[in-house]
Amino acid sequence: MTPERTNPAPALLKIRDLKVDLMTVRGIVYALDGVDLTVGAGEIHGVVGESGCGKSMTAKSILRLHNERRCRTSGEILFEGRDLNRLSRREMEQVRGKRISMIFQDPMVSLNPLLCVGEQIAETIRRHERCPKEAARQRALQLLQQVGITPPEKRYGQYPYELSGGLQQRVMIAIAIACNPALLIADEPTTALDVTIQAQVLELLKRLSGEMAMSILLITHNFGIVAEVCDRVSVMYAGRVVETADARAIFRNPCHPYTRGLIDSIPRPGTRGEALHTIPGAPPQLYERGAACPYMARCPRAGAACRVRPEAVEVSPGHVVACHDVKGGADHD
Amino acid sequence: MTDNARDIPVIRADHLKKYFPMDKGPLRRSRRMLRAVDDVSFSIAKGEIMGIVGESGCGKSTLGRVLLNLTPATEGKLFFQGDDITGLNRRGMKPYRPRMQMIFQNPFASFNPKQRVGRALMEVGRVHGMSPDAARARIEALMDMVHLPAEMLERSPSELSGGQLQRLAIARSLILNPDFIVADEPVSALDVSVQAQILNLIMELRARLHMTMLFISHEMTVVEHICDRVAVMYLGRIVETGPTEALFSNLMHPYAQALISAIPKADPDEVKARIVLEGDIPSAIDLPAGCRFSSRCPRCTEECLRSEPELVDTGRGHLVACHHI
Repeated sequence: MTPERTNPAPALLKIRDLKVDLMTVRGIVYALDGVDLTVGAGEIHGVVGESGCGKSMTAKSILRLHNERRCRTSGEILFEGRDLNRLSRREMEQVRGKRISMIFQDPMVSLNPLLCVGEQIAETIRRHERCPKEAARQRALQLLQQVGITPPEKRYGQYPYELSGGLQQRVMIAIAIACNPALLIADEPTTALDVTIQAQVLELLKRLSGEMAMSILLITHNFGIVAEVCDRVSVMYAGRVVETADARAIFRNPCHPYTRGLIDSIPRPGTRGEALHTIPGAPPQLYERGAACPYMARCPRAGAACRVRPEAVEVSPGHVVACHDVKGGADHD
Repeated sequence: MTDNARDIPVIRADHLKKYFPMDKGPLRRSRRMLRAVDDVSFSIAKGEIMGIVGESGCGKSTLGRVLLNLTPATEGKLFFQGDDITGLNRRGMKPYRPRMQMIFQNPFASFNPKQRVGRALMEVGRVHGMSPDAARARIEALMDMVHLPAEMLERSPSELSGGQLQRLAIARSLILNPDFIVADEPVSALDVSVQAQILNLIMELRARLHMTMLFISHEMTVVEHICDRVAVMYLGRIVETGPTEALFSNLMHPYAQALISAIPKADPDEVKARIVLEGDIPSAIDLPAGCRFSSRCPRCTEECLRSEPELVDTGRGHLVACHHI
């Protein structure tokens, strides 16, 4: 498995065997159970999965935004040659917002309601760079322009409540790209937006990734978004990545039965009234770390081998699957 | 529309309007109005699922509430199985209440967190004067229909998943054997595999019980999948409506076209010319004269700024409100 073959772009972020256990009142939740994920430079990498599969937890763990006193973390998060898990708090503050930034689902709760949006952008610049006030203001105006908020002079002094959800998310993006980060983590950035506004924001993210050679880790539950904007995709289930491939390959040749099940449950045009494909059962509770494949109970292809957790196998260049059933090669269907 | 005399529609809306006053001046005489539903007419025949699709703030949820008389209409007429129920108060609505039901978006919010779900379901029968034994028998039969074990009735909502609770909400809506159900975004809060289960369940129940339903959603694909007829709303008005197949095979209104083209398709090979609309949805307060889509419409002309287009039949019950058709 040579890096050139799996990933044409050199790796910017490499997560290896990331495990996060959460201490809760109901017991230990094994939220992440050995996540392997590689994001190439300039790549838009999608992470898909259903609620509770650990996709947001992965994002938070990269920036170490989770409550570290209630978590047990192991594994490596290699970013620009350093393991983020080993950085001190002060070193981490230099990474957050500067080299890696993040935008969230609901822009209204992420922005400060008492500060006009221009100042929130300028504040981020001054927090990370030595920069006179006026220069920061000028940069903020440029950023507003860059994310398509016009006229910037007027919008600079407006407060979040004066802007629509789409514009608020654009402000969040402006803040996130203010210091030219190498990686932007976008956690369901368009889930709270209407579909026509979602299209605008996705176009913007795609354009910015190209213009700034910025990688994006795009977390979503929507396979449509993956098909539209992502170069590569990782599908997560029960705290693990079960399949990683180029976006096209995920749709053309989904190898993991879970990926296939998810894609098949999407209603397609021209199939009105037909029963939709469903996945039996529900995702497992993560209170214990079982030895078996976590998808076994719901899998149509489960066999005796599945009592042992499958390792990730590269079935074709750049296409990695964690399932016993595809070991021989990707010749299913 | 299907308004012939031999078959009385289950619900018929006739130039329905719902305005909300914005600023209450002295003597509560308000000037500015938010026109949530602005002159909407349609009817739903027995056994039909009608879909309402549109973005947030287009008035689709308000429309659903007005149809059930949960909030009185400002203007227009509302008929339920031929009876004029416009403006009926609580008491006047009483005989109709058991015949109409609603399913909501968030199942966690539509169950009392401190009450076992079984009791929540029993309550429906109690309020409407069913004997406890009859109610219990009915609930057990319904649990079977929504594919849940009867033991689940002993659980509290926090012990159940979103999909299970939404099944219970559907069962609850069916206890009184209603003639009409409004489902307001019933699958929007669910993951895609669970969404597929609930959509399958709705299709199954409709085949078995001949349910009549208004299905409100913001997702074109979902509406296309389960509805017989669809209406696309924009800022309080229906801009395009028709039988599902006719409508989706030939979307004519520029807004409907943009709405469907904005949906990210789960198919990377599909070549398409994406229409990305400029700007935001304007506010439903102080709408301008002319077509309400004119501010975002790629085809806007002078005529569109002058006069508001009416819904015009283009054949086969496919109606469009646009000057360019």
